[in-house]
Amino acid sequence: MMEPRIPGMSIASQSAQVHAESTPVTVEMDPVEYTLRKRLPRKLPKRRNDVYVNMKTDFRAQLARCQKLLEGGGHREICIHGLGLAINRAINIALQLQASSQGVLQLAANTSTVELVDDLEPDDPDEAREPMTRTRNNSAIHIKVFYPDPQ
Amino acid sequence: MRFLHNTGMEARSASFRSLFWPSNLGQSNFKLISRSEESGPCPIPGLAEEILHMWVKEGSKIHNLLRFATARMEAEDANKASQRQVVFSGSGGGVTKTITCVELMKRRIGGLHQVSKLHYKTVTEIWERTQQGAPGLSVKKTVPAIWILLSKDPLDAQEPGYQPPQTLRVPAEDGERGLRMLLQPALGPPAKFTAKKACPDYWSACSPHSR
Repeated sequence: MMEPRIPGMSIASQSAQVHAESTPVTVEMDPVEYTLRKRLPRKLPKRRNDVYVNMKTDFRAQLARCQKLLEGGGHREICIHGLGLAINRAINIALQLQASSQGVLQLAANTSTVELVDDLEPDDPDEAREPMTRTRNNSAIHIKVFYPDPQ
Repeated sequence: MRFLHNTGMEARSASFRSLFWPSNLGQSNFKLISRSEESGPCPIPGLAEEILHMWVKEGSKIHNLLRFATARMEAEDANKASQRQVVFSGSGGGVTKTITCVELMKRRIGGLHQVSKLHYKTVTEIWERTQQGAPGLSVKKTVPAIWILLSKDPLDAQEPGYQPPQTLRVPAEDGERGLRMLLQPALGPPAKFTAKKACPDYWSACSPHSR
């Protein structure tokens, strides 16, 4: 009992113990046996003047889109949204718009928390483990870029 | 730094402003000597001088920041007077962390009014060539920065970037269909904050390389 016969088993039990001690998560799970899949953020309201900034599209393309909305599209205000890593880019776009308008455009930034859902799918289909979901929070920013009223 | 100024580096700096990134010139030939941030004027009007100001950097630990800030904001039973307002500010890679801190802070201490301001911050980096005798350069960068004021007392609702406390947090311009789903309160119990547990989870889950 003191000396485990099968080395593989002893390693497994040790690692499981270490894991349980170091991260006291509410859901007991072994990260090796699950695949983490991130769902897309929830579908959000989209008006014509809403721009959702991501990190996949080219920065200049997203900036040009915003400029087109404000100059050609005839919108008095647009809303730029960024989530997580894209917050920086959203701020950058808003500040670039403001700079290129020679300070005419004004910015109003709001922050919020967005709830995201991860799916945990068991890797081993033989084991009777159920797929799980886990929610986490991420920060988001919503910047209103607008021409101030003349009065 | 003074030594570098004397080598006539400033004269060279103009041609390398903003567009030239030292890495394009072969970063191995350069060594970062100093990095100075120009804080500029305070973007939030009417801010008190002795306000509690949290500078969030890219490597700051959210747990440390929040423990300090909430202790100062909630120090009512202790002898020292509690702060009514706190400013979180960060730039570049610290912007996301700044917003996260603010969001957690609002959840821990209810009824906080918020004003957020965006601006560009100028960062001057001084690079020195590793080869002897070669002139160094100074690089001027503009990085996005955010300042967020949280206040227990009501703030000017007309100020751009104002957000009322969480219960009424749907922005006016979005009306009924608004961003209500974005503004859901946290699921967990708000009373007890388990930063040690929450933060590593939060950040590792966010990073694209996790698992």
